[in-house]
Amino acid sequence: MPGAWPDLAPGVTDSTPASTVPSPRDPVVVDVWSDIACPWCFIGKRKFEAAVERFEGAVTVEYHSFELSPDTPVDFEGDEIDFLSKHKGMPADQVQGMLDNVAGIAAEVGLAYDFDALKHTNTVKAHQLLHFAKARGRQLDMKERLLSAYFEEGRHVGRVEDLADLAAEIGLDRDEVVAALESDAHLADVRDDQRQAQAYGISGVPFFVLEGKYGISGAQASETFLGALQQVVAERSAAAAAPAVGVDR
Amino acid sequence: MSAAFTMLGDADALACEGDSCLLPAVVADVHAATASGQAPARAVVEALDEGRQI
Repeated sequence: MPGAWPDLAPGVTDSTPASTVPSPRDPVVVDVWSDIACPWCFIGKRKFEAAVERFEGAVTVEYHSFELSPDTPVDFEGDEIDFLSKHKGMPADQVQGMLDNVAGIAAEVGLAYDFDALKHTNTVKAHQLLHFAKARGRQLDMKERLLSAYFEEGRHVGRVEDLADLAAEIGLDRDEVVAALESDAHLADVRDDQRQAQAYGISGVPFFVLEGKYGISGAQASETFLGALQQVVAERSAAAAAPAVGVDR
Repeated sequence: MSAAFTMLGDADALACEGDSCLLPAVVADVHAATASGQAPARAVVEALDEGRQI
């Protein structure tokens, strides 16, 4: 979906099936496991995008579901400080300092985290929405909208009606979204992603998989992502050149 | 970490695992350490040595 996402780095598109033998010019396929309620996922996303902007090639991205805290209620009573204080047994002032630190790191990549406004919630419906959007070629737009809504705007991303509003904001059909979320039409897709993560041994997010071969865990430096993308292309070039060696014509 | 892939990058990069995202007390230290060029792993080790909760 080039051009459909304002913050989309040049060359990034929704993931499409890769050919079995990619040429050096084929897009690098990147699968990302992440959650919405994951501060490092949004920060890592920005760092990855910065790498793609510098990468001289195309990249296709597909996001996969990972629930960090599936037991979280949809309507948690209290703010993020309350949640962490009760859940972790930490003093509120320590939690506040911790969140301030995270917000500071987010600001360095241009994100305005607002933990005071954040509405802690369960994210399984949001993941279903991402699959709904993926089926319509809009997953990247939806992912960006959900992360920004959660961390920067204090929007609720756990209730069907709120999620439908966010989906409509990027042009998806609101009624279709409500029907899909209320019927759990994409719950099986979420579970498939989670099973795949488990099979891969992924225990933390964000987790980036390049070409099904390289794994990158966490909000790494942009240089790390760029180097990995370049490594994939270099290996493709070497593989493409290799068969010609010693071949008589 | 995953054995299915060749892992690239810094093993100590900030990530969420389970419901632990924010690594209390260590986040700031790691960030400050990396900003000053110190390896994140070192910052974490030092934090643990000082008995701080992770």
